[in-house]
Amino acid sequence: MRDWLPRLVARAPFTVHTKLIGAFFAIVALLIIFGVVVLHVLNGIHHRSEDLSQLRRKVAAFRQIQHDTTAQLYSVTSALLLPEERMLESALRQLNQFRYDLERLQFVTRDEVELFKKIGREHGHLIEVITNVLELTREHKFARARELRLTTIAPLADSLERLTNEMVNRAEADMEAKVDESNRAYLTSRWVIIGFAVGSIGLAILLGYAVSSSLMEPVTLMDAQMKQIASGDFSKRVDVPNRDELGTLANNLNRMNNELGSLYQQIETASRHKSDFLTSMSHELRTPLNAIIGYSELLTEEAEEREQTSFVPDLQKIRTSGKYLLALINDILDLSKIEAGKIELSPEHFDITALIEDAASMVQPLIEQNANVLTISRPADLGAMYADNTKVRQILFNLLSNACKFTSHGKIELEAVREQSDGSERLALRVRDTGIGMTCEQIGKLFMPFSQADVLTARKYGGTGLGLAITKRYCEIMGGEISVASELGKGALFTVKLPLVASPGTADAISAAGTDNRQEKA
Amino acid sequence: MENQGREGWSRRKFLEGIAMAGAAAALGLRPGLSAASEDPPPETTRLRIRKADPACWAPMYVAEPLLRAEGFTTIEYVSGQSSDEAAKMAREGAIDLSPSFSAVLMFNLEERQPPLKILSGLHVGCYALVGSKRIQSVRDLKGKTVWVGAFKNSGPHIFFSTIVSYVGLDPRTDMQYVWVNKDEAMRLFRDGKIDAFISFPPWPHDLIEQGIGHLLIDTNIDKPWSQYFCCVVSGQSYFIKKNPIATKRALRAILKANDIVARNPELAARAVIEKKIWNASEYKPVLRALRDIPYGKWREYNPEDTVRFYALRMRDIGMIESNPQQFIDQHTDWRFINDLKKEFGITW
Repeated sequence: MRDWLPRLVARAPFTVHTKLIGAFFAIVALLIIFGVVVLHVLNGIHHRSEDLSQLRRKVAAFRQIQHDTTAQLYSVTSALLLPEERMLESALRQLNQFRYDLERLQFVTRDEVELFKKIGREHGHLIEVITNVLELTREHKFARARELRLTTIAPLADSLERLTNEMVNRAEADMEAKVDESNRAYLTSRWVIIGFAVGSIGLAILLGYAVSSSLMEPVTLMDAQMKQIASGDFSKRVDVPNRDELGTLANNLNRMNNELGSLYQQIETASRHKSDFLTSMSHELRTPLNAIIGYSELLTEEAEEREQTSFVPDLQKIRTSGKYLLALINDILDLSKIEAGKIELSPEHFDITALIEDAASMVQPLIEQNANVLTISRPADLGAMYADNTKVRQILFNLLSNACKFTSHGKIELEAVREQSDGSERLALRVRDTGIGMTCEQIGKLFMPFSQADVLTARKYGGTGLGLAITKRYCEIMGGEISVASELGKGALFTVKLPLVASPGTADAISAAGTDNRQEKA
Repeated sequence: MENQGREGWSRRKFLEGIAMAGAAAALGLRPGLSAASEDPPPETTRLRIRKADPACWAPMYVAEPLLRAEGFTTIEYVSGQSSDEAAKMAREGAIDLSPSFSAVLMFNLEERQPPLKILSGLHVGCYALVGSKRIQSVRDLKGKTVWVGAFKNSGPHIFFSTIVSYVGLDPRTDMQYVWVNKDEAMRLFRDGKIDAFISFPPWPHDLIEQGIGHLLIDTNIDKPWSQYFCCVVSGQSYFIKKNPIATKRALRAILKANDIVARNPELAARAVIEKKIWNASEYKPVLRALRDIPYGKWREYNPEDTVRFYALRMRDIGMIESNPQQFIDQHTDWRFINDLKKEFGITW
């Protein structure tokens, strides 16, 4: 029940719009049927009330005839006992009343013609005999009148009373039947109304569940598929039973997944080839370059020894260019290793203060070069950390050298503190400068390889544009993070947070860093 | 006459009486009595009729020679005193026709569902409600002690219930009942320990003659009770379905017997004693009861209206659940009496 109905709705070959309208009309149809049933019930109640009123009128009319019969007997008896004209007139007037009530009876028993005829015959006979008795009384034939009173009028009145009683009983029995009918109708109506109400609610819930499930399940599945695609997993397909727009959307998503998967394979292959190429090329380039640097140093020393000083500046330029080229090749090699997931960490225990002092002394020539001032702010004892010393040192050096490069006659501040974050202790390194700063757009591209703030900056300040990219990768590999805050012309603040103890998942981080890098490329 | 023992009545003399009554009818005194049936012979020649102590059922016994004339050769009177017994006998197929008090039969038909159908009225009136000197009207019975039979839902109890509920008393709560046998009840009434006593003839009249009580309701005379059949004739459902001609012939004989009882109650009283319903020593009260009951009026009364009237009253006090029309549809069969209407000159 829980699954087949949403599947049935999903498989129905209609659009989502049609399905929603269909569900709406189904509920409306139920409400209309419900209304019709209620109207039918009310109509029945109304008719039964009318029937009961009619029966009540009949009973009243029958009772009136009974009363008239008794009154007539009384009048006749009185006339016989006291045969005065006044009494005779009264008895005759009583007959008028009798006739009037008979007409009323005829009116209320229109649906029972035979019955009225029967009563009418009995009454006609009674009235005839009464008239005869009254005539005899007027003619002073009392003996004959009394005899008629006893032998004819009394049995006739008795018979008439029985007849009207029978009619009253019939009417009462009909009333009882109507009351029973009303009770049955009430019970039936109650169950019908309860049934319809429960059915309507049930159907509304069922339809709501079926329609919403048939819509939401594919959406949920597609959302999960999108997340899989976003994480670089193209191996799965979304399978929905829908034959509507969502079904089409799922098919398109699967097609897109296939296309992206195929593209990703191509890019990954190309990237691997590039990394392999760069690794081998870097190695091949470093060997002759080291020779060039070495020979340029030897030649410089020999030129100085032979006092041929005019060659020294040119030889130094060769040496400087060679070292720059070697640094560039090293950076490219590092980056390609990171991207290829081949970098390895060598964690060890080391003193953080010593590391900071070393980095500061290493960057001192760069500080002086642009007439900057470096201040270091740190607690007296920062303690030790367990991490890859070389890479932490390179991170710090990169940040400081970067700050020196873009700051002239300014201040560079290094702050180092231990911080608690997410239940673990971290080393926070903050490098603030008063340099040229960056725009938001420049910040967005800052950690991308080969990307400096812009072309003009690269030309003016030099550099490969790989330093911050490598720094970011190293941070991520070690389970840390790097962030930057800057405004154009107002300097920049780089913050690095590294775990004090390298986590066991470092290898995963290396892989993740490589993956992130690949995604950026994709 | 009351000194004559049962042995003093010869069968010959009884049959002579019947023959005389038949001859009177043949002279055209009443329609129906002389009607030579043109119906086919009955499907069965055997007929079993329930018998019990109410003297008012005399027509059932007076009818014996008439039944023979209708073609029944084996006529058995099967004793079934209580309504329980009657229901059991009907279920077992031990009786074919049964006289019953209308209200009691109706109660049983609804309560016990015996396979019986009401076929016709038998006679009007018979029950009498006697009150002590402290009781002037039926409503005075509220809170008083009454005797309405030896057990609950007996004939007197149901009749009494309809009578008191007619004036707004609740027979279930408004009075106390003493469930003892009739003789004990009469003694208690004489001793002033019960305030009212209801029974079929002749006991209520015995009490009145002894100056112990006075009549509150006499269903022979007092309306509305006197306007309806007191006792009716019912037939076993299977019997009447299987033997419609026999049923009609039997009913004809019983209704003819009604006229005979009306004209010759002495003959009827002798029949009651002949059938050992009552002792010969009780001839006089039986005869008086039979004289009081207006047997001759059965032609003027519509049995369906009796059923309707009692159904209304009994439903009022929750003794039956069906409404009158449902009851009539389910428990009556008027085909036979309707067939006999013209033959008997029935006026309703």
